[in-house]
Amino acid sequence: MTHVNPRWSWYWGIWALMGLYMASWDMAMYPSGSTLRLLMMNLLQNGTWGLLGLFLLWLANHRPIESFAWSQWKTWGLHLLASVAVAAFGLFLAYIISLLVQLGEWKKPLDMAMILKGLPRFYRSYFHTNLLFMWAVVAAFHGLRIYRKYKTREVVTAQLEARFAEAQNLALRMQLQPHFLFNTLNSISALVHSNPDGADEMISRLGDFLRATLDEPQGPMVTLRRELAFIQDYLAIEQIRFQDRLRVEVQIPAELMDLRLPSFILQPLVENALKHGLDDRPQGGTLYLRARKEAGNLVLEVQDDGDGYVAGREGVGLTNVRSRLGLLYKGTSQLEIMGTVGHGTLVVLRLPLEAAAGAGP
Amino acid sequence: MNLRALVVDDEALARQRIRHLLRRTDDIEVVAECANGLEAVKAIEDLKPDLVFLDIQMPELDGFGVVEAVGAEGMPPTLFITAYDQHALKAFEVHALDYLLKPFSPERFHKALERARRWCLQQPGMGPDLEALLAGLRQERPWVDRLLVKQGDRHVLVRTAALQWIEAEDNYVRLHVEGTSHLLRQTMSGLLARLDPAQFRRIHRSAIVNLDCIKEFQPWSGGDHLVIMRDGTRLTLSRTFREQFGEWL
Repeated sequence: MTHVNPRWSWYWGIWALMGLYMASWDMAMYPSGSTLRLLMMNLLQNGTWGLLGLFLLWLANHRPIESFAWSQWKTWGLHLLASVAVAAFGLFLAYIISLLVQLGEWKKPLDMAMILKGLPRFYRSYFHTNLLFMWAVVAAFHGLRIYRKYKTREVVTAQLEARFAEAQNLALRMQLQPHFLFNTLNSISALVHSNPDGADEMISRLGDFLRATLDEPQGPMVTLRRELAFIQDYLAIEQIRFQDRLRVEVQIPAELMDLRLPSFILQPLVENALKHGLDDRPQGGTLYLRARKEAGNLVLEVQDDGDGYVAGREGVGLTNVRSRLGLLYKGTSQLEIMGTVGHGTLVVLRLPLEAAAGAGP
Repeated sequence: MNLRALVVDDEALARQRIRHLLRRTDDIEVVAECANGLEAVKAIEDLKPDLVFLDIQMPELDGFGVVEAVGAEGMPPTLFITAYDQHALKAFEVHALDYLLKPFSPERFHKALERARRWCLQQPGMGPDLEALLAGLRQERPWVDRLLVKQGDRHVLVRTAALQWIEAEDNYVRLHVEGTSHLLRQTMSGLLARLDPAQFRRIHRSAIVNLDCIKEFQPWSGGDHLVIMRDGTRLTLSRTFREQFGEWL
């Protein structure tokens, strides 16, 4: 349950402002009256109402009106009754205050007959306005309450969303690994007999690769340098597996190395390039990795010289990359796949530079 | 008696591993190695090996695609090998088939080999039920995205997305693909069951179309419609099949 706990300086400040406002109203109506007296009277009256308002606040917190539903009629009734009572009692006190202030000026003692004589007229003049005023107070408390509730919910939703995105991100990354992992282990078991040095190399590369997937202290974004180191571990393993059929060319300017991008976003693209670009070709092929800055974007390119991508269903890897980009950049990034049959495939990934350069979106 | 074995894996090192493990046995001879599914189908048909070591994950035509292309009844005893495929593992468990998980130990390999030897000595048809395995896998992955067709003595892989329309021709179906066509021994309903219904619909007793390749429909006589394809081919949508297009016509 959301409680309204107004800052007290604000609470009393607003009542004081109301007092000043009403004093100016009185001054306009009775230009002959003493300014000091009108000011004092109105401030005292509003202070009294402020005290009574605490009761309405308590009621708003403990018996809040939650909806317009019929089942809430008791609560509506309670608030109506309370506001009538507060308006009536508040008006009585206000009347006494105005009398006391006036009496100070008239220098006459207070007598009962006089009080009773003026009271009905005072009520006739002010009760309806005052009741309306109290309703405004009740409405203000409820408005504040709903606003607080909404704010809290918004914060909770945002937190949930962030956590969900993070979890999803993690799950998507994990999905990439098992295939590669088991195939690599199998290759190592072959290499152990035929090429012990190669097996050795592969084990240490695999170690680096696994370390990179396991520890990720920097959150969902990493520097291009780190991502590239990871890709190179991956490619080194694949190069041993493809045995000279795979050539790799990296063209990435050193000044781009500190730009940030989503972790492990390149690996599926490279994996795809190897799978669809090189696997079926006995003579092997070349993989190009390029990066550049262009029109506020970090542009990354993965190109192979294989058979060329034919539009059709996208594999798990690409679907994965797309959903992670969607989560992290919310539509401001772009992934394009261009292929011509017989002339290889070019994948172009554009990431907005502000997000790429900063601490991440 | 020496067993003639075929080793199928897209990775040279994986094939090398199997050759290495087979060195310990003297009754198995590797007659060929294949680096992809297409080669494997051809080698199985040409060489008729007694035993196949078959990797499941291969680009284009995978291990199950090989079994399907050769036909479960024509498939020699097969030892399936996989790195990681939950669908396949489930299917193997259900059909009590032996399989090897990469990386496998020599002991595990020889145990599987021992079992495979027994199938080879049995009468054909006494081994594991590949037909049931394929049927089980079809439930998991009902639509195919490639079809293997024979052209002369060559095998050709056709992407289903590239199929424009399919025509019934006696006991065969004719697949029309960009300017050429292939015959496939299959029934219309049998093929239709393997094609994604979001993309392929039957429009006539003797025609299935790829929805992506339709240009327009024109009303024709007797409640039939004329279907005009992108390449200009005119086909008939018969009354009987019209209701599938209810949302459009």
